[in-house]
Amino acid sequence: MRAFFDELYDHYHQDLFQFIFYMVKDRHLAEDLVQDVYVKVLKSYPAFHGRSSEKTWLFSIARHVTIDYFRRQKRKRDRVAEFFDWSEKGSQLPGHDPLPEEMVIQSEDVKDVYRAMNQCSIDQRTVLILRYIQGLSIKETSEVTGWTESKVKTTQHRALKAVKEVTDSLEGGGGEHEKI
Amino acid sequence: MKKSKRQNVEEQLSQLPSLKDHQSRDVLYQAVNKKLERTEKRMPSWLGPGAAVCALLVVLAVFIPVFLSQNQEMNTQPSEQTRDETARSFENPEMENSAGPSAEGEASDDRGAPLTAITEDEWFTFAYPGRNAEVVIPVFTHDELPFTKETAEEKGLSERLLQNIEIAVNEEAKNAEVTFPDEFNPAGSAYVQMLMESIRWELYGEEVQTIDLNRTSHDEVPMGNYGDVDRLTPIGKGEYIFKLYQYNEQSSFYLAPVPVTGHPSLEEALKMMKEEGGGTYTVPSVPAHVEFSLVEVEDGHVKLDISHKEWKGEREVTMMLDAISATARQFGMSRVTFHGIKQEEAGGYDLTKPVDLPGPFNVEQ
Repeated sequence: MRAFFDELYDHYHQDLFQFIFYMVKDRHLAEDLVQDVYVKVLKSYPAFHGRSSEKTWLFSIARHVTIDYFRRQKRKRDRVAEFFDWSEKGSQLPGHDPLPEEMVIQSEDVKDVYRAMNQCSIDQRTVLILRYIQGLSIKETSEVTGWTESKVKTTQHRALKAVKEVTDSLEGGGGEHEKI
Repeated sequence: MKKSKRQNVEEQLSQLPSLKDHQSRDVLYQAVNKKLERTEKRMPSWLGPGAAVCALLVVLAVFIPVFLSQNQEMNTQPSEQTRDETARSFENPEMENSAGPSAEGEASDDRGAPLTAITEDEWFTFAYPGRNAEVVIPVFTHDELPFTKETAEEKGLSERLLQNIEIAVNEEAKNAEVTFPDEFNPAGSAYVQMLMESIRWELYGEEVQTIDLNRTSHDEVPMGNYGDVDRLTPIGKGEYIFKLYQYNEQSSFYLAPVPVTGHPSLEEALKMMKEEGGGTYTVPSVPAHVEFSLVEVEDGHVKLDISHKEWKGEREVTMMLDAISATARQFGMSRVTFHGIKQEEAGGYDLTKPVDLPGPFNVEQ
């Protein structure tokens, strides 16, 4: 098993970590979730019959792990909703989302785009990360998500539109740019 | 101020920095191993209840057939009131029909679409326009695409219109996204009307709150005289009554949803089902000799007092019951009691007790 783990680690680990990080935007959480990805991979590898490439199969597992995490969080939020007013949670606003310390981004526009991704749905964010950060093709993205290529294109189109609307409003509204 | 363009957004996304995981390979492997051991030791939470359910099913599988066969031997009346209601739902409808009274001795019922009480399984809905493009007939099935173009024609229906259109339902967001090809450009208002109705009916039962239309790279869809459309309203309560559709004597009968204007009450809707109109091949589903002397609605349960003259046959009764059931369901009801019909059973309906309204209709097995 160690040999298999090493092989996966060498080929895909940083890509998987990066995908999860951009999904959840929290380093410690991403470290924890990437462990969960390996647990699922090592348990389910016998069921992988080469129906898709190893890379897209791993990304699809990473996607499901992050979606499971978001669902658990939603259930928790629902449970405590009566005690907290979540509308006051400023960190959900695009102009207040702190950038991770190690992210060195020179361009203010790129920082705005990073923050604007918060306003996308999970599906839209998934497509943006796979397509533009991981550099996957439409076909590979459709394999990861299990959607048709047509749906990937539509989701991508809507995600770009959503990001553009937020960045336009930040520019127009004088959203605060964070110095790092 | 300069606004960012779509291309700029794409470039900026690709400029987001690469990030590295600082966990060492060995630390990561140990953490993964620990989690693996934990998951292998832990008994799945469903195993206890699952085992109990399996045991119960085995017991039921052994005892229910024995009980039923004993019960059948003891019963002399086929519509005995002590009959188990749950068991009725899963019995073969043909057996039920053969057990019930047949006023005119009809050997078989050629309707393609009896209502069914099985509601827990997954159903697919496909919409087929009628032959005169005036109504859309929803058909429920457990399988993909019940009809080819040819078999639809044999049934007296037209070809399904949503062939090259993709429908994706997001259950969490209660939203459906309908994607047309970029080159989509329909002609004719009747076609567009049938197309939009088909989409709405194929999403009936999905409990979506919004239906977004788009093309692969556009946010709206040209819909002829309706202009560019980016959203449809899902079918709401009380929008339709059900009449009967039949193309010709050789083809099947179907329940046809006919839109109503305004916001009629269920009582008014039931009376409308006696009226002509709704399309060339569409006829009233409630016979003229039937009167509703009382329509009482309480907590989703509608109680009907029905007076009637002589039925033309068993089929006339069962088609009326099917149509009333589908209409009551469309108006948000979940149960119906039929008082006043001078028989205890018709077409699988036990008329001696309240009937749970099934979701699917026009079922093709």
